[in-house]
Amino acid sequence: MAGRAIVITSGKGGVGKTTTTANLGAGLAMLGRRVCLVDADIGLRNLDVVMGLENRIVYDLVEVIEGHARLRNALVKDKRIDSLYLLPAAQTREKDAVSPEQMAALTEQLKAEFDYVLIDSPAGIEHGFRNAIAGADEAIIVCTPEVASVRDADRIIGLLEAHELKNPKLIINRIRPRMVRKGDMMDIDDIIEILAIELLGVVPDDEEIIVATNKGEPIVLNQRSRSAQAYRNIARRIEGEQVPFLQLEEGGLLDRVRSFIGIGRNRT
Amino acid sequence: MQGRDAVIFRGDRAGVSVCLNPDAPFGVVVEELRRKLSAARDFFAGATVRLEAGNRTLDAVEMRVLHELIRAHGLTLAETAGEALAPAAAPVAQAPTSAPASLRQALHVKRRARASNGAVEEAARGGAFDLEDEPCLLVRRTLRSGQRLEFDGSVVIVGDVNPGAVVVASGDVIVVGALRGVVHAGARGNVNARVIALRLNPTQLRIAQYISRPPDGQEPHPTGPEMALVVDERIQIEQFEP
Repeated sequence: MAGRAIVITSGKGGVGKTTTTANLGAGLAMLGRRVCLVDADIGLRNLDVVMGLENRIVYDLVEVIEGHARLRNALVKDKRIDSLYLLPAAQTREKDAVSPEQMAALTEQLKAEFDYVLIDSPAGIEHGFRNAIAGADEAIIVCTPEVASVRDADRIIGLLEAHELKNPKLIINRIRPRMVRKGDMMDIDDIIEILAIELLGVVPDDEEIIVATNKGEPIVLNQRSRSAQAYRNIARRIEGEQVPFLQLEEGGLLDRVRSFIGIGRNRT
Repeated sequence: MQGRDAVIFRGDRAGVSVCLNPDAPFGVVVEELRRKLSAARDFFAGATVRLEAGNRTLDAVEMRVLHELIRAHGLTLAETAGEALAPAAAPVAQAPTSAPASLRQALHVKRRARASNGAVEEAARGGAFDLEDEPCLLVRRTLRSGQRLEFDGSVVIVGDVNPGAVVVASGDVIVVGALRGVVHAGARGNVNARVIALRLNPTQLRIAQYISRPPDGQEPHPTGPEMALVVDERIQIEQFEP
């Protein structure tokens, strides 16, 4: 059975697409799935750095598409987790080096060999974004609880709908419960009210992610951290499991859980 | 073609004129007008222009083609002298319109016959009943950021208008949901147009030539359905009671 091709996109830059792609990929692989991560950010590749695999890159996605390398030889096997692979982007080329049609064909090839193909989209809505979504069947939108990020996410959802990628799911990243409580940060209901798509998960802001990213270690490997747990839960939800949302602050748990459950229903 | 352009836009204190070169073949004029209007789309949005044909005579069909082309790009055409036939109202919608073209045309001609000779603006002014003659578009989905809906008539949206979305209508705009984007009602100059929403929270609201926005620093928290309309040359918001 062919795998699922999921694009992780946002519109806004710096909200956590690459971190999310790395961690969801690692999380799914840790559950035993065969996962291939695809870095579609040609020219500004980061997925290899965040995974700690940049020293192991021999060939990249552009070389595969241009026929200078075989896909098999370009895939970088993760150094920690079995069944996790990375197809890196080219750093010395630009976004127009490949076309959406070529990306779609490449994704089809990968779907035949993997359970999950996770495509890390670049920021923006231009050629790079169109390349990234070309081969995808599903989409995950990442946004932070900030007005600008939500605005861009809304734009992206509209564009995805126009490209026949319906029912994208949402991950709200870097939420700070204390700020939400004080009213300084948008809360989850505000975001869902505007975006009106299904919530896949909420990841709390976590300093440890900065450390982990710089070290090239996906944080899901870290048992203690809250954001790691959030990512692991999201991976399980992608697999179809019903996982309750994390308790992000002491007290008010029941309110939070009740409002989360209400969100997922009856959204068109 | 050599020499002068087939179509020139000329601006003066009275506004913008679309000047047609009388020597250019009609087909070239149409093509060049279309090209120039598309290229300058945002610049001219909502403007009223005059058509100057010089010493060229245009028959009714040619006039209609030019009128429709100009209206299709969101511009209002002020009357040129000696026009033979009223043009049909051409909707600029992104979705099917409600009334068939022949009915719209019949209504439009009837309205023009009622009005005396004069500019399109004068015919549009006059009151609520005029808007009831116009076509109305029903949209049953939320408009997302970056989506733009333009319609020559009134618009009813069952859904939200998200921030970053734009609705432009020559008639009323009614949002059965939250209006959070930019809305321009009465876009052809009808100051009697209204904006009604269950939650009126636009980033910017325009009626005809009037523009308004929520006051700085204040988050508007509408408590119920509200209506925006022009009173004494200002946009006013009131609680909506049908």
